Amino acid sequence: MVGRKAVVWGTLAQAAVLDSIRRKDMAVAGILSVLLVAGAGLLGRFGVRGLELFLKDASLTVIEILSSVMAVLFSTRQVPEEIARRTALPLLARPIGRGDFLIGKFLGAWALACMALALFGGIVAGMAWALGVGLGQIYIQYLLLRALALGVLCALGIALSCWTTAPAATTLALVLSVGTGTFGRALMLVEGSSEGAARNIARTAWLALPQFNLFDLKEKVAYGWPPVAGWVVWGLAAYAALHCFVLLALANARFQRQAL
Amino acid sequence: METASVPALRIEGLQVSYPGRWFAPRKQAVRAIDLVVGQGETIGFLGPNGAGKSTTIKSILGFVRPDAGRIEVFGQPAGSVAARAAIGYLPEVALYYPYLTPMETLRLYGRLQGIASAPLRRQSLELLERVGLAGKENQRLGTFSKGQQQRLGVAQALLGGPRLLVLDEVSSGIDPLGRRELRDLLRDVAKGGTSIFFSSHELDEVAQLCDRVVLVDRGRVVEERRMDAALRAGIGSALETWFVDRLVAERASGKAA
Repeated sequence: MVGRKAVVWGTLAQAAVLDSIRRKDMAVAGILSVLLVAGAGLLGRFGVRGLELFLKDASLTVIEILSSVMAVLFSTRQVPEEIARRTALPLLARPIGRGDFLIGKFLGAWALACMALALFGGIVAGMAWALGVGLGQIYIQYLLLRALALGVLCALGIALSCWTTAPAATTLALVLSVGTGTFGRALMLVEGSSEGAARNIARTAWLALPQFNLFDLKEKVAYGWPPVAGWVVWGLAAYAALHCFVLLALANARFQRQAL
Repeated sequence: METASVPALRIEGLQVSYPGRWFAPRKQAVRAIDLVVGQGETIGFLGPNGAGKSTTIKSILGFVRPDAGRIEVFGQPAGSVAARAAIGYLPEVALYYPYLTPMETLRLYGRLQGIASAPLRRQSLELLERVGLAGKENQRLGTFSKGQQQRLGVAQALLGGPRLLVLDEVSSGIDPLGRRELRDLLRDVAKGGTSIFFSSHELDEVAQLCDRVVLVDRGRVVEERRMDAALRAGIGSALETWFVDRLVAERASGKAA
């Protein structure tokens, strides 16, 4: 049973990846990141001070923004596009559940986002190596936690695209990916300065919103910190898994009732 | 335990409506559809545009939820995994991933159906040959014409040897020669014992393929008729006369009432 489900999820994910790669989405992302990171490197060549810190900070910001944008675009278009171009019909006519379809699509979007992240990460590592800038072991952890955050972002994109239109889902997911840090800080302030129901509401809202800044090791990489403890990574993996589960369950609740 | 007496498809008292915009009332797409498709039977599902044919077909696949009524496929509730495992489906407008090749497309559907790799490859090549797409196995679908995509759609519907074929506007976009080849193919499939339920506006095709026709209008079954010698004799024209006369009479009686 589990084996059969794995085949279904893997097959759907593979089709999503193949379709997207052949559309040259990944090539565009690669070219864009090379240009941006190379631009940052060139500034150093022309005498910008503090090259190491600058290069790390600029490159990691590029990784963060581009991988988030890619994850949102990959995930929010998966389900609406399948329905709009009617490719979902012969797929869902097969003996698979609608939940399996969503999981396959989520895995496809996440795999694509991770491939984009690996591409950007490789380009930055190569650039840093060429310029003699050390990224340290924490860089691996940075990429790993970034991949987990992208998983949550993909689940969010899939969930939003099931409840609203694709453009609205893209906008909302981008706003949330950037804004949860700000919202989270505001909610913590409210939680700390209020009592009773307001405090509980602020705490619940903080817990319900995926806090993408928890996965962010950018500053630590830039300032050359040692790797974080293993339990932190495992804890964040559990946090990401929980959010993915809840978001995909919300997506499924809507998608099960949707007329095709 | 399934027996030969269990019909391939049974629809009882089907009613389907779609929500209106904002506070507009729901739009009734299907009001009263009752029909039975026996095992090995080929049924033509006819009616004018907007009669409720595609909605009925979508209900068989579980794509829309009926307001009332019951649909069973070989005794299994419509939309269930067991029911869908028995069905090969061709949607009204068949569109596939433009960046995949026919072989990759059939591999995708075959794996979802649970077919192992080696038989899947063999079946895919055989089906592409049967629908006239041999030699185009590795060409991207984005370069295919509408008719070629429809042929691929027929191949994916036949993948895994379904016991019930549900085809919505099967010959849409296919040229006359291709239609004849498709008719021959469906005749072969029917000879093999597969039940076929299909909607079409091509009455020639219906006349030559069907054991029985079901005429629907405004979401109701107007008449069911076995394809007798009289209807077959004039091929499409006799059926067309029956189709038009019956609909005109139905609408006149509706107005009078």
